[in-house]
Amino acid sequence: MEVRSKLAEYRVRLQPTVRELKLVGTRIRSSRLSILGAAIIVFYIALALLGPWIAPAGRPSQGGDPYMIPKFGILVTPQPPGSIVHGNYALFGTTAWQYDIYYGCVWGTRSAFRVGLLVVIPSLLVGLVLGMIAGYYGGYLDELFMRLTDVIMAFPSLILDMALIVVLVPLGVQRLDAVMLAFVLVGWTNYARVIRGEVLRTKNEDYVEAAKSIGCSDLRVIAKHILPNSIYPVLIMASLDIGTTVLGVAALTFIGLGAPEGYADWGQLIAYSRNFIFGKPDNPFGYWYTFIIPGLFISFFTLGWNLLGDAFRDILDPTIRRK
Amino acid sequence: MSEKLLNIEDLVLRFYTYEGIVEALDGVNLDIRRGETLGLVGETGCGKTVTGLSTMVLVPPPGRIEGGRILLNKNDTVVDLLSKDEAFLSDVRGADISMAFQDPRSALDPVCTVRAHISEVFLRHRKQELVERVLSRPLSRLEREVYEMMSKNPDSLVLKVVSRIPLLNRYKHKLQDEVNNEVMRMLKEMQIPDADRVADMYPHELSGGMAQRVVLAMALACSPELLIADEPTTNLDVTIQLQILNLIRELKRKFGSTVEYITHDLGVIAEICDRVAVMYAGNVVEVADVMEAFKNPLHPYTRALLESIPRPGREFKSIEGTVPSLIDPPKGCRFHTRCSYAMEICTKEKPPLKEVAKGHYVQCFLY
Amino acid sequence: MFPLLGDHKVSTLVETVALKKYYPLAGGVFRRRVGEVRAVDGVSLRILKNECFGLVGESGCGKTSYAKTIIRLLEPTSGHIYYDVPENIRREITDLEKNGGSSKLRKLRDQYDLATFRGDRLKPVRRKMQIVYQDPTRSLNPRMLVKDIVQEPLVVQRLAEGAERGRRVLEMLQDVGLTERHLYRYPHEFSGGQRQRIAIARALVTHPEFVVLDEPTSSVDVSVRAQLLDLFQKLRRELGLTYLFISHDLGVVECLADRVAVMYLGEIVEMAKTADLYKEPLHPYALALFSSIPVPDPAVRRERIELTGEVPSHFNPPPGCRFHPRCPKVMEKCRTQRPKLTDLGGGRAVACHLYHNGQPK
Repeated sequence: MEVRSKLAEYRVRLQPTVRELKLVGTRIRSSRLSILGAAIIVFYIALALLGPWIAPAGRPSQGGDPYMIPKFGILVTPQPPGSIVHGNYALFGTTAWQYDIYYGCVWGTRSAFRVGLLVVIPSLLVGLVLGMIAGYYGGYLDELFMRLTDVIMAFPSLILDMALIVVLVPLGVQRLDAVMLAFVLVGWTNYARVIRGEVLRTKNEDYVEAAKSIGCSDLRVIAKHILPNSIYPVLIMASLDIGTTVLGVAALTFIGLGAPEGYADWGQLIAYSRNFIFGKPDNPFGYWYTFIIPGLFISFFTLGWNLLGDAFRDILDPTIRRK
Repeated sequence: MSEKLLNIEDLVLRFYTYEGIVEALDGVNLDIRRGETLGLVGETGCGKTVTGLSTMVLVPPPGRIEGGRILLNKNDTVVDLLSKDEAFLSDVRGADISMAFQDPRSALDPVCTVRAHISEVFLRHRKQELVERVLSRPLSRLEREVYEMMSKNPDSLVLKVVSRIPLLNRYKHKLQDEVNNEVMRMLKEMQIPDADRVADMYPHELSGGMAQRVVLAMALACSPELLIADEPTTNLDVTIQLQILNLIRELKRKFGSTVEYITHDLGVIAEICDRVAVMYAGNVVEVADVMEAFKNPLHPYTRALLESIPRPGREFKSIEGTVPSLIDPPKGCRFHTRCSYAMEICTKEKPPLKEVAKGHYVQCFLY
Repeated sequence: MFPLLGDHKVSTLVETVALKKYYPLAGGVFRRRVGEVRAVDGVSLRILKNECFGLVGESGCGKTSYAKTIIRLLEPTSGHIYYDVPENIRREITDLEKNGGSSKLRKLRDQYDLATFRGDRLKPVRRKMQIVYQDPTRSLNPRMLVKDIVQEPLVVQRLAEGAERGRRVLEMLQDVGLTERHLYRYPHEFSGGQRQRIAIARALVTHPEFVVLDEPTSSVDVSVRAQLLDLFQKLRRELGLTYLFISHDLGVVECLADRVAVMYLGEIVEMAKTADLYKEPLHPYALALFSSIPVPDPAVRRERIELTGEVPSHFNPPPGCRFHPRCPKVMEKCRTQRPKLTDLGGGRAVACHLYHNGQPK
């Protein structure tokens, strides 16, 4: 009765959304790059989900933490893909100190998603809230927030991240958590800027004024009228940012400020390859697998999110959708 | 009966969009006589703007002209514009046929001054003349050489190189002076007050009426035979509209141009047009002298349109239904779904455009 | 100062007294107030119950600012706005003001003068005053379903819940000529005329008394215009509405309005009953304005008065009579003295030195 009619209501409500989604689906299918982007990300998601099965944990060298890469030996020199080290089969070979590259890459996918999402989503939320308030109310609040973002953005972001990490770790924050926190503290500014611009544009629209004319409270106007119409650029930024964040963390790990020793992270794998990038004089790229393989993982991850972000932008803008 | 300046025969235009093929123009027949003001009237979506664009072969993709001929009487020879290449058309546009667009402020480039806009037209089409004029003035030897080269061999590599070298290309000033004279002349023709100051303004600093005058100045700079005015006064206030209409009338007299005036405002049509063509859903449904069209409208759509003009004291009459989508337009006569006189045949065949009375053409099976 | 009407039996629904709306212009490094744009510069009007009051003028003359200030979408710079306030109270406030401010004045104003209302106090008023915008494509949230758009006023004003709400929404849609099928769709799936109907439905769903129609037919085709005008008339009859009809399309206003006021540069220059005004406009600006309307009948050749120059900006209006730089009948007096809106009897009022003594010179 009540429930049934509510369900029926929801079903009917969904119809135009379904229609729109069908349109979106067709557009995605028609753009090869979008399909590629989607495929790449789907592949990574599968890899992350299937991790525990295709790269099982439980070795003694991991010390109980599946995110630590198992060591197959103790010697420093990396072993090529397909070799057997102390009875362990290394599909992608091992990197310095015999860390298994295959395991590192697979569990590195999980790390990547974890880091990416745990950085982007909070940055997005913080930037969203502050940017919306600044844009909607203007005045002193706007000035305050924008000067704050100016200060933060004046620093090269990676440098600022490093400074923050160096401050946070001695305070007892775990290494990787410090990295993520630092990224959030620096990264929200981009979102705030973008959403503020969109809010400024949207708040002058007729329908916002119309909403006020029927008596909507500020909160309602922001939530129901301004937000849904101004959020798309930010969502696109966010999807692009996931790739960029992972790249950034990898860079920091390479110089030693990111993931802890032995952590399953693509950047960490590349960090281990530091001394082996230029192999022996007679065999310059002899140890290519130590950095090329994790490098490819990073590159495709970033590429996938980039393509997907582009696709979102083309697809989600309701005004150009119908072209 | 004056000669035909432009003759559009059976023009077919389609837009290939995501949602389907839009049959924008379905065999449009239109002719414009030298010296007249032809009004092209219709509602949103009837195809009047794309007809204007097609005349200059300027339809943007995904639109494609797929049939018909556009015959222009140029220098006493008749050419089919659709068979010509881009180089030829580019010469035609601006010099023989030019267009004044609907929203003047979006038709102007926001980073170019008024002077730059109008200069561009002159430099594109009248460069040779202007160079000759420069040559007739006292010049230093070097300058004379450069200008001689411009006149005889405008595409030479030497010229291209020299024109880019900062100090050497000072010779351009002489040419710019000539162009400026022309620009000022045009601005004064357009009755723009304080022309010197206005010439250096940017589009956003201009009012609507002023911007429209600038657009007209650009369009008429090279005294084209045909001026296509696409709703030039729709966004303007009524008193400014009067100014612009009077201006167009005056300019037409002075320059001897022929004007194709596209609008949805029947009042404006009655004001300045000699003949009027009514369009509906991609077809020209009626063509007649303006007096005749208002006094004795033949096509049911024209009749309904005139009836629906709100008049005080009378009931409001509107046309039943809505304009059909052109993606899958009605078969036969496209108006039959809303026509109170629709007959069996109207749903099956498209009526031809027939001359029913002298100079009065209708596309309807009633006749 | 107010153009009085002989027929006092009809009560006033909305009155503004010397309403001003100035927009500050900020300039310079520290964003100081450099000047102001006087969009509405002292407008005193009365709109009677159940009438359709037309407000015409060219773009930028301030008519939209005026309308939005009345319904308090904008905050007035000064002046009074009375909504359904009995005449004796309005008169009392005027008297108190003339004789110097007092606490009683402040109390009365707080209670009755809409210009002093802020924030939450405006919410109940919003139920009774509504607006329909010019461009329905922009006035409807593109991400909301029609049902949500039309029911939002009921939700915000807490006027109906659940099934009752749904019923009222449907009823409203049917009143404007739409059907149940249209409930669950997005605005972009409709034509211009239909979108305007949705906007009308949203405006009327709370059963307001006063509706501002801001150029509601300018964005639609001629053939659809007649439908909308018909709808406006029907709804006014059925729901007992009062309209403030703003338009620059004089033809449309002639068909719908009972009385019309002409606005120029923030001031009312002439006001009269529609038929009177259209037959014989008195103010030189009104005369020029009406003469420049193109008539859809080529047989009619009317004498057209072409005005010189552009509409001056509100920022630095000319001294004296604002219209004097463009007025074909300008006199010496016009350059220095601002003419007041004077009642000429028979419901007509003009602000022009030509008619100052109640008689044309």
